[in-house]
Amino acid sequence: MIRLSDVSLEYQSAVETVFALRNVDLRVDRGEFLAFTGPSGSGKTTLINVIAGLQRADTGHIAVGDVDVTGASDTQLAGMRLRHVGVIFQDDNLIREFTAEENVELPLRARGMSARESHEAAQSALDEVGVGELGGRSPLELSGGQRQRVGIARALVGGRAILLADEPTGALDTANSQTIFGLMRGLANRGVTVVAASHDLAIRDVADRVIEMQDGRVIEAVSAS
Amino acid sequence: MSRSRRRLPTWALARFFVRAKPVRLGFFVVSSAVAVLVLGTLSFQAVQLSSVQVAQSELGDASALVVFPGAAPVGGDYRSIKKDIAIAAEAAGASELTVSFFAAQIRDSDARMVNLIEQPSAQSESMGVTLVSGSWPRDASEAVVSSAYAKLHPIGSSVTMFNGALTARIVGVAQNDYYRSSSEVYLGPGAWSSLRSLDASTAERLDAAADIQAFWNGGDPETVAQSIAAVVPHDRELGLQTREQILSLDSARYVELQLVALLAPLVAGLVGSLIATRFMRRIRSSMHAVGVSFN
Repeated sequence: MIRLSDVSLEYQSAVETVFALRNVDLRVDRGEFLAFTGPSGSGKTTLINVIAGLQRADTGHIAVGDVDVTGASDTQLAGMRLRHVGVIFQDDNLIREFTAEENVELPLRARGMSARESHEAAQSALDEVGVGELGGRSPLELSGGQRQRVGIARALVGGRAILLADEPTGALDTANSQTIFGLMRGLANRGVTVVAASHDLAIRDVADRVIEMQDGRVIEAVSAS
Repeated sequence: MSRSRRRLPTWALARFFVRAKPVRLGFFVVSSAVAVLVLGTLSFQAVQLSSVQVAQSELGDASALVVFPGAAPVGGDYRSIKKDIAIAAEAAGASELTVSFFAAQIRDSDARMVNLIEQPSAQSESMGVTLVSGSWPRDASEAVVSSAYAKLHPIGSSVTMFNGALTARIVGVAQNDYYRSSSEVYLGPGAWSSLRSLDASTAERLDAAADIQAFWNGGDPETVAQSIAAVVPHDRELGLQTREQILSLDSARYVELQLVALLAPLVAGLVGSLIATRFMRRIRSSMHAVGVSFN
């Protein structure tokens, strides 16, 4: 489902060359829940970004489903995110001026779905993540955990089969973190491929496989508990 | 229960805001255009009016002017007030006193805004108002209009104000050398006082008032102004202007005005485009992550 071969990415900071990713090889199967852990600056976020096509790798090859991420244009990558890959972030990245439901509808409208169909699909996605009754609220009226659930609904609405999550519980308390991880586990059980970067060790309890990263390298494949 | 918000035309809004450039450009272009317009207008005025000309347009041949804003509401008897002012001014050492009434932004029967001015024709002429055709009004039933207003009300027609309480036949057209585009009606002697025929409730409903303006020569301006103020019922600060004061203003005053007028819309436009940019960048970033592309 997701394959990375010898992927590297470096950038120049003010004082030094930073190796964000170094020769990363990885394979994630359909329906698998893979977690990256590691300290800040270890490359977790960069790895999520290059898989999502939000950043370009310098070298190596990345394929997500049938999409050759390394060779795709920006428009093709946007299309991939729109149809196949949902991304959630530590910051929920919702549009505050729209309601929760309107946020979830956006990718559907971008795909050409009618207002009525997208409304129904968005409502169903919100129901699925347990915030169906909050669709009419502004993101500002939701708690952090509720916003993150809306983010998951937006990431998966319309049948996207891959969920990439960058520190999805970074801004949440323990109880909400457990709820979000549980939700991701449930999605994986239903066949959604989940790749999550997190420094929260609790992710080890729910992931199928955990990979430790350091200085842009995959240093260890940790067994999930 | 959830509180449901009114649904926005989400898709249209998203498309509109993500296409950031036209909105930002719009802010900037509109504010720049306003700034240029304001600058152009003020530059024109600054070129036109030196401080000597400002003094002439404000005072005519008088050395001082005191204004009592809104001191003459419609319906009053101003003949006796004029007499009292004359006595008070003379006692304070003033000479060549002229009293006039100036009511700004009064609606005519066609709802157009005009300035009503009742003052001796000699005073008008000394302030740069030149009669270009016809004659000055002789009584309250006649009026002269500025050339801008004469396009709508030529000589021979009538101008009506205050629901018909003031009607005057136009007998002349005058041009203000300093403010050519103003719509002004120069009323004949006693016209403002003639409105006393209005009953109290109508007068109250109209809620219009004229400024009383007293022009004079000689005497100590402060002393004369205070002396006049003692006989004019007024509830607002009187405005005293002297020729000396106006002449002391140099062109720097106009430059300052221009800069403020130029900078205000520009700053507003820049702040607006900055807010729009930040807002749209945020939305664009959210949309980009979701995979929505408008390219």
